[in-house]
Amino acid sequence: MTIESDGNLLIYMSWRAEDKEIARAAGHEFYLRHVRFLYWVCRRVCLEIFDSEEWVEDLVQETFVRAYEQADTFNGDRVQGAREEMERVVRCWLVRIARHLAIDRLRRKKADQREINLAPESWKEVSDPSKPNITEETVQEEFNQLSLVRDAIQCVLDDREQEILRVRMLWYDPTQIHQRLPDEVVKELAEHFDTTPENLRQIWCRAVKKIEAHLMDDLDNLPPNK
Amino acid sequence: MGEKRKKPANAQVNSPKPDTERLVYRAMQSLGWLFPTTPEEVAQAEADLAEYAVPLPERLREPGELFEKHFVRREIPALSSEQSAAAQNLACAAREGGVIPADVRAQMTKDRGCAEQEVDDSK
Repeated sequence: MTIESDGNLLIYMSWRAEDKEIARAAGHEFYLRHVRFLYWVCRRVCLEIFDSEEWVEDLVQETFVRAYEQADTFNGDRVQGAREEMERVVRCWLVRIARHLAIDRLRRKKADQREINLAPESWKEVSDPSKPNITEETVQEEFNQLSLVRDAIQCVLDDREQEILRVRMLWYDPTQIHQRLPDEVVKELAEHFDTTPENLRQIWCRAVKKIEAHLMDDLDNLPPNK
Repeated sequence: MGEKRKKPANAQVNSPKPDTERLVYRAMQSLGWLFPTTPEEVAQAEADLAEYAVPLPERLREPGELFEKHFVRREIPALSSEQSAAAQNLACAAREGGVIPADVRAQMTKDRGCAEQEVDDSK
């Protein structure tokens, strides 16, 4: 199994009803290949939010179980590059599962429920590896702006604003322009943060405005062109 | 001195704009605060992993029975309708008509799955 590509391992895993031994061996290899990466990602994203090392480990295990159960939903047909590229697309898919599980956990934290409902259609998609046409100038501009925003997040926002913004961004989809969290989700998050939905939205807006103000200040203080 | 950078189009307005949200999202991604969603972000996370290697906890080092135990929990064989009705009548009589609490029922289901697995394994 060690020489098989990730795409093939997922195919073997999807045979679990017909050939349990092959599926089990493929699942074992798949796990060993990705567990360190997945643990690293889950830990750095979730440890501060959930404040539980044990839950991060549960999340990693549950993600692999979901991947095993839903291996047939992975579609790697359009990945035509090297083995490394396939591996990254598979990791995108795996991380997407973990993200959904973390979001579900966040929404149910008060009830302390570990069972997670994950509609397969919500994570069948695999991130498209095709890249938009980006020029060197736009990359540099984006880099500069990102540096400023990172400074703002870490220097201007207090801990609570950082955490709320961070949790809010778990829902953010960069492919959508206008996004508004459903009222139901805001209500659940408000419970998580022990506040009201209105207050939560205000904190979110205030945090973003602080960042915008920081950007404005910084840009105003720059020297003129020479 | 470098060139004066252009102000973001959204910088002077009162409410959060999509551009700002996108920048915040990208900034948080680059800080490692969000899940990577593209192959490029995965590649960056892999590079970070190589730099700040965190030891894998003992319980994650091997999958062990991870896949098996979850399938036992989720794929309990269904009883036939006759078996099911008889079993329910006997169980109801044994508890003198009382109702089984949800947590007890969950534990019973789990125990049953484990027992069935042990039988399967011993064959």
